[in-house]
Amino acid sequence: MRPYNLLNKPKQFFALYTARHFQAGFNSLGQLSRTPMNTFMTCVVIGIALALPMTLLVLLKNVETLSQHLRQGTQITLYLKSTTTDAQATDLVYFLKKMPGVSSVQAISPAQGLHELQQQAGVDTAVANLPSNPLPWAIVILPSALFHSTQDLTTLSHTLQQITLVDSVQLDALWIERLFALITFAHRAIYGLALFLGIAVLLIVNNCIRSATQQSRKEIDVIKLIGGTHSFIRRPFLYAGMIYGLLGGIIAWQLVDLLLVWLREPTSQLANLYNSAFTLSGIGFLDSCALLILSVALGLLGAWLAVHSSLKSHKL
Amino acid sequence: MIELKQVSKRYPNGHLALDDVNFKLPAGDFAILTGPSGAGKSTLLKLIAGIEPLHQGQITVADFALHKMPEKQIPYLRRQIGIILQSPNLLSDKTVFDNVALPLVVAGYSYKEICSRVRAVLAKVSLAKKENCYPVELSSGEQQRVSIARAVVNKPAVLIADEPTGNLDGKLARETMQLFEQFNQLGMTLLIVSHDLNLINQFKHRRLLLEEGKLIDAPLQPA
Repeated sequence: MRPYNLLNKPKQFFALYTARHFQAGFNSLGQLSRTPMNTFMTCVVIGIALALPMTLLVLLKNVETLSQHLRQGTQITLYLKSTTTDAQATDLVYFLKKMPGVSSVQAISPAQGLHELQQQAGVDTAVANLPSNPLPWAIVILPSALFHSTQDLTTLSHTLQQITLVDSVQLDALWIERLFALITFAHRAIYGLALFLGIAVLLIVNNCIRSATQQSRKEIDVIKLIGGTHSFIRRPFLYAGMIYGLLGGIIAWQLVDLLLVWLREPTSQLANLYNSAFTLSGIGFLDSCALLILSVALGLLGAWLAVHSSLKSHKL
Repeated sequence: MIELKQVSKRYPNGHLALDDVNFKLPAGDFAILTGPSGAGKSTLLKLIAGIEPLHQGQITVADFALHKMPEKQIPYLRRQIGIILQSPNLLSDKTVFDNVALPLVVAGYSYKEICSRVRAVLAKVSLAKKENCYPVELSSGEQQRVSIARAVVNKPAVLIADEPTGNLDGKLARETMQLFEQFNQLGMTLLIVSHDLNLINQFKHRRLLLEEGKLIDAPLQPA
């Protein structure tokens, strides 16, 4: 007699392969549903472990979005020499508009500057007593979207400083750089935390599947004795690991979403106080998919490691 | 067919369980392996079933050359061997039907084929009415018959049994041996380990005697 082999019959092989996977998946689901409380508790622990770094990442993304807006608002102010005439200033504005890295240019004449100064409470009398207008021409430049790194802005400032008519250049981006450095630091810290909690999820699933394999020790021995391959034995445990991961991921996803909904209103109120229309963004489709894929992958890996060590320890 | 050539087995503790064992059991033969406790009978069966690794000699079972075979192929060898142990090793949370169906499920047979084969073999071992019972509801004789049914449901070329009647009384033991004879008449090669001389002497089959790891083809005793 020859071994039962369907490899030379691809259609039947595929049907058998699919049927075995369905069978293993349903068996695992049935096995887990027989101990609903244990399964639920395990999934909640996995969910919390995944929700923590995910929430921090989503909040950080929101801070990043906010800081991008702030960075896009970075301006460079040029103060021209006091001897600059109106015609020279107009020519310079025309020249600056054509410069690479410049998005918009706004010229403020000495008279306009003085008028704005007079608008400010408490200084109108002092301004009125001045013998002449001491203010120079000022040109406010908004860098283009491509010129937002510190290096780009500094290079642009140096270039502008070289213009003969320019007396001084003012660029205040240091605080934004500090914010970005903090964000980079937070990114690393969160990824580190995610790594540790990911390992925790792996160990939780590994422990659950290990105890399941120990409970099924006799069944594994019998299946090996009657010709069950390692992949046949491994399959239902891998599905159980994936189900743990998937349910844990769904719980994490819901926890993150709930937390963000809870935080949305106070965030909007805070933003309103700063005249900002900023609203807290949710987890998003791609991030949700990434979370679920990651949690399933962690479940699968944890289960695989548990079954692998269990099969190695079985002598049959 | 089972063939062993110059097979020796030494355990890691240094104990020599089998010493240069040679024998050939042609397809369709029935042999009873006997000998005192610790003679190496179980080791021999474990080597044939691929449970113990073979380090010296050559073993061929149903066209599978164990000495050349990678470990990954062992499950496919076991699908060609029905293995029965002294303890029935049934799964307590599965019914008689499910226990017997297990080798067919593992081999990937269709549900229809599984039903027909399991019912046929349960009828053969006189357990047709007990297919929905759990092992705990059966007597030890019935449990052993379920394990026999599970071993033969896949229609293996070779059936090996390690003390299959060890836990049974005289009448049940005799019935079990008669059942093995029926499978042999269907063309199955059988190698049964037993040290129950009273039982062995009731059946006229080839006798293999193992003593301190050495195999001797023993003459038949008068029935």
